[in-house]
Amino acid sequence: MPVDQKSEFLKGTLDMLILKIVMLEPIHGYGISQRIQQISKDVFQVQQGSLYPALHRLEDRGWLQAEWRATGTGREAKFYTVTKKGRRQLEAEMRNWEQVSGAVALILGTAE
Amino acid sequence: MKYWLRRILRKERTEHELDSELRFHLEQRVAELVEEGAGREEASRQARMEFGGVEGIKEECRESRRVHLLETFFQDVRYGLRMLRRNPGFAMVAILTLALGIGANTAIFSVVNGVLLNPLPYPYPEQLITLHESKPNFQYGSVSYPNFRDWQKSNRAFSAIGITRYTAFGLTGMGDAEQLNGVFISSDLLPLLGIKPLLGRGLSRRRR
Repeated sequence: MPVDQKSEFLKGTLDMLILKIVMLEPIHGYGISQRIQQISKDVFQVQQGSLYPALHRLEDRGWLQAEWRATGTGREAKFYTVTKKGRRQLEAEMRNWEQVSGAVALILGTAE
Repeated sequence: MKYWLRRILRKERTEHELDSELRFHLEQRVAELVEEGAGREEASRQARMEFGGVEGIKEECRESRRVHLLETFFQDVRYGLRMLRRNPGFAMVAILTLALGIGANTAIFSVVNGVLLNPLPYPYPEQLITLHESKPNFQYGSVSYPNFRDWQKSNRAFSAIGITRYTAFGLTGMGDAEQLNGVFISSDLLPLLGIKPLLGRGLSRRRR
């Protein structure tokens, strides 16, 4: 894939992962990066330089909404939740992802 | 419209929040590293290194909002144009409505401007008109004095006709010479306009 197309592809994937993680419970940016790392068993380590622009992009599109709340330690943090629009977006992206990954698996699984 | 206004008002808050959000992340990471047994300073140094340039990240966050702003703007414009092309009847009605609205507004403003905002400073300004002599190359040409006399003699349309001509005089004998702008007027003009000179007296018919 050409470089810019590849990064577009990864950006879309990151958006989907973020939406999925935030769907689980309202969570702040730091929590999201921790979760992605934990759940993917350290395969994915989201850089702050990608995470925060993505969060702001998603919030701006109305897929996420943010709210300042106190954390467990009493510190204020920006917690994100998924909006209705975001939920629909996630469903669409997941369907798309299943299709793509299914197709890739079919091709890779072809007996030589 | 409300959407744009809200955006502008929100800008400052967004900036402040962006700062707090990134600072929170950094502090969380430092706390985690300290828990893992690093010294406070060492932890802070490592967290900063992992984080990379804060200003760069901020700029990218701003950018991701700005890009979207432009994108949606162009999308709106494209959508509008597409809809207009798809419904030429509707487009026609919309354009006509706009044209009529703007036209009517301009017309009414010209009247209001002339009558209410800038009326001529004379009694009965609505009865005053300017006459010109149309010539092939001058739509609003000047009037020759003999023609004016003829107009005056055969006039039945107006209660009076006066005439003016712009001129300039040279003022000398008091230091540097100076050009003074003036106007020649016929004796009928001041009574016609219904005004009196501030200084001296008006011209009388007899003295002409």
